[in-house]
Amino acid sequence: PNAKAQTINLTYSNFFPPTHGHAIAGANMIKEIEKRTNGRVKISYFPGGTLTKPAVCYDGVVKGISDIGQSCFAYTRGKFPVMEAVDLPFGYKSGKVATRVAYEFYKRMRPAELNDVKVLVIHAHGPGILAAKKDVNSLKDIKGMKIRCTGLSSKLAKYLGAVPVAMPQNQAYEALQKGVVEGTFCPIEVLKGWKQGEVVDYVIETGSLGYTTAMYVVMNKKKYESLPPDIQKVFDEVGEEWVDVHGDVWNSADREGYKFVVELGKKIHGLSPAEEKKWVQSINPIIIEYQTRMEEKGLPGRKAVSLLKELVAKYNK
Amino acid sequence: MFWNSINWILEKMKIIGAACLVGMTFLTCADVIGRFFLHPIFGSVEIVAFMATLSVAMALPYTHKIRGHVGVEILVRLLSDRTQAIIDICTGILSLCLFAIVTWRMTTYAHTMHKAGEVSMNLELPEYYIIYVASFCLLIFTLIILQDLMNNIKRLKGK
Amino acid sequence: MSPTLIGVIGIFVMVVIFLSRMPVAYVMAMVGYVGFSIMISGKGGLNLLSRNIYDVFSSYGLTTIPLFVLMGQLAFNSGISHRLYNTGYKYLGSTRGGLAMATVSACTAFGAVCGSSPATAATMATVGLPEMKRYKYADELSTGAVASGGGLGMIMPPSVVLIVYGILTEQSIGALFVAGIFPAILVTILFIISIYIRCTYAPDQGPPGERFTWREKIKSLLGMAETLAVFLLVMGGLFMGLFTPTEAAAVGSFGMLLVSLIRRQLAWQGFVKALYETLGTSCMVMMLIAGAVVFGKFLAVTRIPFDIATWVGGFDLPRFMIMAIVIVIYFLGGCFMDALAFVTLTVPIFFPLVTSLGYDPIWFGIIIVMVTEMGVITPPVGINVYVVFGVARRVIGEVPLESIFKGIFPFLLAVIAGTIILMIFPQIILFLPNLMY
Ligand code: NA
Ligand code: NA
Repeated sequence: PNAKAQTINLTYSNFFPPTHGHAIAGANMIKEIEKRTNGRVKISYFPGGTLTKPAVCYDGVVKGISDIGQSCFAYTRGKFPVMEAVDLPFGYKSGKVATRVAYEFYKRMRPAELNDVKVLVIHAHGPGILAAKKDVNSLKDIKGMKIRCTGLSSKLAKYLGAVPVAMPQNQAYEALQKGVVEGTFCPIEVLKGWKQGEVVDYVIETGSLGYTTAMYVVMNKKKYESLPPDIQKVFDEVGEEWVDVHGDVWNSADREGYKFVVELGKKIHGLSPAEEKKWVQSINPIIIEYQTRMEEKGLPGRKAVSLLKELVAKYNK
Repeated sequence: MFWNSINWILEKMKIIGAACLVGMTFLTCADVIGRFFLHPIFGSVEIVAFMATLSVAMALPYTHKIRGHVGVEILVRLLSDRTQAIIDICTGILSLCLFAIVTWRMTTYAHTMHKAGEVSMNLELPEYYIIYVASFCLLIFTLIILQDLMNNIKRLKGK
Repeated sequence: MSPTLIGVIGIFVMVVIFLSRMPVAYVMAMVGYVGFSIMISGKGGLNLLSRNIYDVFSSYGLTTIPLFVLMGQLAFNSGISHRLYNTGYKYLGSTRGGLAMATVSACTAFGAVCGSSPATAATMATVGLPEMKRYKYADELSTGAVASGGGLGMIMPPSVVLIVYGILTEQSIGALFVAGIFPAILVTILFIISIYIRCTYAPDQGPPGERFTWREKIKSLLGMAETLAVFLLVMGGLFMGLFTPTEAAAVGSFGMLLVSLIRRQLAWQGFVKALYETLGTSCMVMMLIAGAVVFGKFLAVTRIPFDIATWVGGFDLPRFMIMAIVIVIYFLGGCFMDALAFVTLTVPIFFPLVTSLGYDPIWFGIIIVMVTEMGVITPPVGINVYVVFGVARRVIGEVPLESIFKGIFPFLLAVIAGTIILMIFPQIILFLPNLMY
């Protein structure tokens, strides 16, 4: 009863730069929550990693640096072994598909690794592409190419015969411009969002790069539990609705990225069916490798992979 | 006896820090050359960052000892020796509290990451070891601040 | 108590504790920690402190600092910097303040390799301060030159802050990079003019030396062949895409080591000394950055940067007045906060305002980055000043902080003059990007 009179002040940390679609989606989510709680909740927003950096975001929420946080699971590897499965190259058709798959996967698996927070939203970016300074049509062309990547995508590079050069996204522009790397794996959105479209000449779309990076919007559990039930309900509902909001942002970002690259006069193309098959086969061991590793640890690797295959088939339609 | 061993550790930490400096220089160069011949050292970025972390952390007590951390002396210089000693004792206590807290929290940080099984992004190395080592460096650093504080108290008593 | 008031009190308390000669880095971390705890929660503050300190220590982007400092230390301990300045002296020694002019220009050139302003300041201070002292330059001038020159490196591409600006405002980073070149050169020239004027009125600041014949000049240049080769390797490799700026630092250190070994000028003792000095200097710089980051998080949660930006947006004034106010705010912002953090927080609010007034987005980016970066030489959070102060103490003996600030003042005037020139003649910024993009 007392809580009603008092405004509840919260903070939300988001690593996306403030002008990025997901930062704007976050800002709109705040507005919606404030509106539906009649201003009883007030949220201060810190986009652009100004409150917590991407890799400490989750921990920052658990440890009370911010109350709400948005970042990628992949930035803290090993911490989310089950959610990691979502990032594998299952051949996601779009960001919205990946987002829906990721969210439903979370709800059906309920992995223990997320027990110390309240999950509001899970979303995931569109399929990866190869953006390169030279044209690539076959496995022969990609062999020995220096490709910027991190974590999971480094394995893709290795299996495709390329040379992985690990580097964070913010250094990729310069590295591509200077020729330190000859290509990069990323969702096409990045070519506009991080401006890398300026410094590549070809974009190659292939299902073998149909991986994703799952992201979360989570809330400090104690903070959530301390809220009155009607406000908790607002958070539940808005969170549920914002899954698709973020999914749509990925789709439109990818469209914009595509447009950006075309306007810059760069060439975009796929692979021939025969070649495409070879690429997909080359990367298949990654999924098997994951499955075995998880089972060895006593985690449901096989279940995760089969569920994801099922969900991708369902939503890719 | 106790302080002698702390200072012995400090000297050894300095040597490890210096070795890390050399290591990061050589490793980065090896990576550049390797990349030129299409054999980059995968994850060298990560190892270099780890070595940089260690070199800075290892240098903490040493840098404090040689008064390497700068302070504004404009006002304090004009005061009497006694007042200077009193001010140094007060700020010494503040610094001691601050870095005791940092040491404690750094240890729990390492512990949290250890428990969660978090590993580095590229090489999947257990970064929490580095954080444990950083906590140890901070502990020695805090002890050096304590030693400094005790010397200042002696200085005040001697007046 | 309102958040704004807590923020203002925090700044005040920090400045007061600075005066107790407690290390600046510790004070910033402490006040930031306490302030954050008051604003958010005790637990949040505790975790903010440890994670941010570790974050700064472990940042790959900041590994340039120890690597470049090591390069400077190796040059210093093997006598390479000694010979560099000898050569410089043969060419410029007869001009008043000539070596300071050369140092400032070297800082700008170095800025084209190095993306970090404290790293530039620390390296150039190590190399330049003892040499300028040898030629009887006043400490005021020499320390002022390296501290200010370091900040200038930030508008010379590559620049991290410009990349962030480009992403925030959807401007071409390539265009921003080329746009920074002429302003950097302009300010360098203004720095040189300010040195010239100062040395004319106070000749003891940078006394002129003897003249040398061309024969002597060329001979001394040839004596520097291997060192020049290292510079060419670093610069060439960077532009040809063999390595990134961070890697350039390592290649530079390694090259410097090779040169000194070939010349047999670096004994084991000198090498060890260079390593230890590098440890001390980089630890100091990293702690300063960590302190500034923690303090910056505190200022961010007080929302002072947002409030100011929103407040200015509501003004009904002629457009150049609003622009002048915005510039002053970025300058003040740079005095209290790390440039990168301040730009990220405020650009999304100022950018629509400024472009709706008809200002060019590229022009605005260069102006604010330049102005904010000059915050590194202004109190109270003037990292470069503390860096140079710390390095000076090791290489030429105690130089009072007030002398460094006195030494910086004319350079600050030059920056202000530069900003006014760029406001009147935006073409200086826009000429290159318009030509190329
Ligand atoms: Na630069
Ligand atoms: Na400043």
